[in-house]
Amino acid sequence: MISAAILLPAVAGAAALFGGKALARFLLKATACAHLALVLYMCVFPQRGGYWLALDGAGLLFLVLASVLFAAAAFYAMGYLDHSAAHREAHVLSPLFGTEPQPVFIAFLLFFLASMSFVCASRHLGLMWVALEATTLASVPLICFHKTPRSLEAAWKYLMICSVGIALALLGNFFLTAAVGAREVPLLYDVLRQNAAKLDPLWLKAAFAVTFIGYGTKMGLAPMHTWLPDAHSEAPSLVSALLSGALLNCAFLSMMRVNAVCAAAGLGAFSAKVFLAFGLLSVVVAAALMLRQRDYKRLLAYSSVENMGIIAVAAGAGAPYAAMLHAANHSFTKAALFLLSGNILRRFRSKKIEDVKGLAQALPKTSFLWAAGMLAILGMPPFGIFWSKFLTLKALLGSGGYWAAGLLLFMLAAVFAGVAHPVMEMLRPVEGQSAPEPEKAVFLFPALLLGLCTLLLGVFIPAPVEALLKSAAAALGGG
Amino acid sequence: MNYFELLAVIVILCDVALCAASRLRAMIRAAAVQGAALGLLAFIKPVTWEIVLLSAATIAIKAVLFPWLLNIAREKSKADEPAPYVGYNFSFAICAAMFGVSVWLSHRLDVATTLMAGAFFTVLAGFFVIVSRKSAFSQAIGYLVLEGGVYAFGMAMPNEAPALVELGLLLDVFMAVFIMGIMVYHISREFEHADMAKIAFLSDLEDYD
Repeated sequence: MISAAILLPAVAGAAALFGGKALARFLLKATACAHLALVLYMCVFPQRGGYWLALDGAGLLFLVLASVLFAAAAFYAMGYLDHSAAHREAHVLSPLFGTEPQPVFIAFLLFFLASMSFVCASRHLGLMWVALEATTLASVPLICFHKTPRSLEAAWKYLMICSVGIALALLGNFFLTAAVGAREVPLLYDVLRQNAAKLDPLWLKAAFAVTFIGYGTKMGLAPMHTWLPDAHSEAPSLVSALLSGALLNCAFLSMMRVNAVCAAAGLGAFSAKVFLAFGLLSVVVAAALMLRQRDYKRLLAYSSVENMGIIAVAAGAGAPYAAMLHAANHSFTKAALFLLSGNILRRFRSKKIEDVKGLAQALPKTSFLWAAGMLAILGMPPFGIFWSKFLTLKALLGSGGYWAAGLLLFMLAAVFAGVAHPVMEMLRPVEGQSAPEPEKAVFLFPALLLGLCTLLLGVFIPAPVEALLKSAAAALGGG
Repeated sequence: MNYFELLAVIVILCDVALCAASRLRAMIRAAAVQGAALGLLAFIKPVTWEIVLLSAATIAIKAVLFPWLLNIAREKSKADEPAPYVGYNFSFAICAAMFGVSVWLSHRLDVATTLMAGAFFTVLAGFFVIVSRKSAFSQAIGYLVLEGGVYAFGMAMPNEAPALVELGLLLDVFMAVFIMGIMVYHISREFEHADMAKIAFLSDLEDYD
């Protein structure tokens, strides 16, 4: 059953590659729905894992997030691909919209889903590494889909930096093997945790450091984040949504798997410090670059660095529940915002904030959702992000990190002050703006539904969701 | 000196050749020879059919397929290798320093075999090539070498990694190299060169188009 969540999109992807355009499009929609249904079924009826694959609370939570985001992106993709195809002739004039055959794009989208599901469901740390590297490989062709010079540069940077990072994480896996030594303990995360006391602490520490750098690169923590703004801003918007909302989580999950072993071995104080330091650094770096940002997609990308930093801080402050809640909130909100940024880009043909004027007149519905999403990501109540940020701060204060809490609060305030103004400026009506164009539902509903999820997490967390978040936190909490 | 020591020395010499090579062709050749040595190194483990498969696949991919693909791409693009960020003589000096660090590191970790030092050295050398060379070709070779170093580390460890994971890893490397090859092809077609130092449009602060 668990393997079906991986095989289904993988097989559909292969079929899409060799089938025609119509088949590929059907497969994308059908697989997205079937995958979501399958994942929700597994939430209701927990599955017994095998040796290689298993789903604990954390794996299940991130699998649900990936699946929901993918479904939203898949439906958005229908409209997106139509638009790309319709604007093929404009390719010569505008390098922004010109495209390769759709089936290839759809196939790699499905492979991407398969590899992300694989990461979430891996029980063996070596296999998890394989899966995470596969996510990079599946997403590279998606980023440079348009084959523009800028997207090629971004994709190459992404491929090289993440591959090197992941290669370091592989070294970390071998260090873990060394920590196990001659004792016959397989690299299964739960078995490792049970036998953590038997592991060699020096090797384990080395393994944690190297995997942290490796997976941290993929997660976008500063100072290893340099690929992230380029890849997120150059990729088609629906791909950016998946990268930011689903892929970064997968890297975080991998990191937390190793962290849980360290915590069980009594190295929790050391690993918590590392998480705190890199988390805070990410927030600071992202805040500094967001304040001067002139490109709205890069703004969203740096906001992802910031939010990954907050998640790392929450993990370091010993608040895994806050980290899980924030990860879920960030996924929904950021994916919605990236999908909307695609609508703005299609209308204004520019990613510069200053080129977007009179958004509220030109695209009234998009602009409403965009404003709400921005308020959500900046941490305004009643959206869920407010609560997860609040819980993170509370945990920091509770663990005596007054300086860290102060710094975090200051940075959040600075980002709010710096970002709210230019974003609202985009909305402000201008004279001479053309009448609103009809906005297609396919470009709005995915973002609307994702936004409602964030709102729901802020207003009232339903009991089953609460249980899932709690079990995810328990699975990664160490001990 | 036994057979595996000899292979480890070959791996190390290939790293040196790679760091000091000025021609792309020489780099590809060094990486190919190293790939063959790494493939044979798999027999350091107890011989099972999985190990034979792993060895054969490693040699096929690293010593035959990848050099072949790279050579085709190199001839197609006809691009000259741009001068690196770090000069060749200085690269050589850095190379010596990295080797010293690797030997020290392997002593530090109580596993001071030639292969272990060679593994660390290969990781460092691959990393150095990636950051110091400008062309996308060299960077892809650097990645391959870096990954080869991690693989060599796995071979130097006394315990066995499950064959499934090893093969999955190899599949990933194969795909990574394949995708890098496609990317290099697109980059050199789009720009008529593969000098990544000149392909830098993306920035936070500078104005663009």
